[in-house]
Amino acid sequence: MKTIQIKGVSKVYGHTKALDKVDIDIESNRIYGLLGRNGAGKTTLLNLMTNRIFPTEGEVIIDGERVYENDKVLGNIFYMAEKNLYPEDERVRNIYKWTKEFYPSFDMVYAENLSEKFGLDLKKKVKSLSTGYASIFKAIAALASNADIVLFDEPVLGLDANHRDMFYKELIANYSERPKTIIISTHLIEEVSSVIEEAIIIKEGKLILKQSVEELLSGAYVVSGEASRVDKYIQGKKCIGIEVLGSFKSATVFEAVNNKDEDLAGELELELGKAELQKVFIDLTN
Amino acid sequence: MNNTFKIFKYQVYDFTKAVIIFYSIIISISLAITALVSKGLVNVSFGGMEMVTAIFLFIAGLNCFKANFKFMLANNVSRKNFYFGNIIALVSAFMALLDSMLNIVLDFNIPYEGVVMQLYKNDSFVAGFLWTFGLYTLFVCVGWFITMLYYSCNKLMKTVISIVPVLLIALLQYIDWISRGLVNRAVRDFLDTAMGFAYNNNVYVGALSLFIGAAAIALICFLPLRNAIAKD
Repeated sequence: MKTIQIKGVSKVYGHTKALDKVDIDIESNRIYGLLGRNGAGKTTLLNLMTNRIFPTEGEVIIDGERVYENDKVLGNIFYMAEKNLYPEDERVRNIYKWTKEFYPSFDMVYAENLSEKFGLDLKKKVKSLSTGYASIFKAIAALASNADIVLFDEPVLGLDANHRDMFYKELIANYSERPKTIIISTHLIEEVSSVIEEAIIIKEGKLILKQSVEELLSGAYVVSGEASRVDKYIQGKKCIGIEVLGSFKSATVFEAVNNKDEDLAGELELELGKAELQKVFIDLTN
Repeated sequence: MNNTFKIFKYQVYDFTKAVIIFYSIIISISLAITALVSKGLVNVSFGGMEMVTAIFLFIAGLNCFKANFKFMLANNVSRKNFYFGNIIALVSAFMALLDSMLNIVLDFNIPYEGVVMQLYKNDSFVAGFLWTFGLYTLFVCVGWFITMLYYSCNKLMKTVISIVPVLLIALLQYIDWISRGLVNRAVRDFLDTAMGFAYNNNVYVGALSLFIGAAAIALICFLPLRNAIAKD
């Protein structure tokens, strides 16, 4: 059981506050989506969680122990960074062999099987991998690491639709086989929405939401129809986003729908529909 | 198995290829010269090959930080363990031992003088080994420190630390000029004392000074490493 506590963490780069007093408790054995727009502070947060950079204030605690220079704690986390940190001249197979040195539970057979599945040539040098295959190579290392906490930063960067689908399926299979805490930072929200159990949304360095995807989506809905009627409907309601197309309007309401709402929508000849995670995300972060 | 040993293992792996290539070249040159001398085709004396090894180790020191550090970060190893797992002293000892043995072999076959023989007129194997071990450790530590310092600095600081030594040399030369050779004499006296020439050419004093210098630089190396982060 590895719980992660991010306590009042801030990170300042020169005059830029990348993270501002972020407090998050991450429970073990769940799949989290770390969502935010470009520059929101997602990668900074992942780097702080793995001791790759240091917080300006606050601390990251895993199972009661500070992460700072703590090999015992760090050995339980595998972080697939977007940036390549592996030796460019080394062959993929050798990197996997060395990863096994540092992560004794690393499953070499599984890594080899996955490489075959994804068409990754283990004899290739890291520098000769395309963007997509570099992502595949790092994602396989992460999946095979068998660490208790696995962090993915843009794991499907450069992957085609088939490989992305394979990755999500493999991730679910891996998690079902051996539950672990997984945090996925990605921009492809709609794709990942079926995989993640809980969403952590960061905006301009601040945590704006941490909620289970199910709760989040059941607590929001989309109302659409003729613009003036939609306007009438959303009066007094917590509306987080509006889209207009000619005389047609669609609004995302950040409230659970009740019978009264359904009656009103019926009266106004409006349609009520399920909110999509990506839509809620865009509305919350705009 | 603790992380320090794993890092140690990785660095041995990383250094091995470069060391093999280096000694393949050195041994080939030595064999060629030995063959030429023994057949009487040339009449040369040969020596001071240790300085080639020292330069190789300085360059190895310059090159062994960035990629290894990033790889250690990829595997979530702490900076502390990365520091303690470093094998620069071991590589220096290994190469000093090889060079000392090579000296004996070369000396047996051709007119050859190693650096210690040239400087101290001392042909003891132990003295030669200790002195070259100290020299190599110092060179590799200096290389390691320079690369680490540059790595941890921003653009402005990189410029500053590049300019400061030049300014310092110019300043010392100016002081030397106005003081009629004071700086030169001070440097010479310091080297005479530190390298053991002032103590009846004592090679062990020289070796000790080289080790002290290397240890001081190795200690200072921890300062930029302490807060180092992954960079391109």
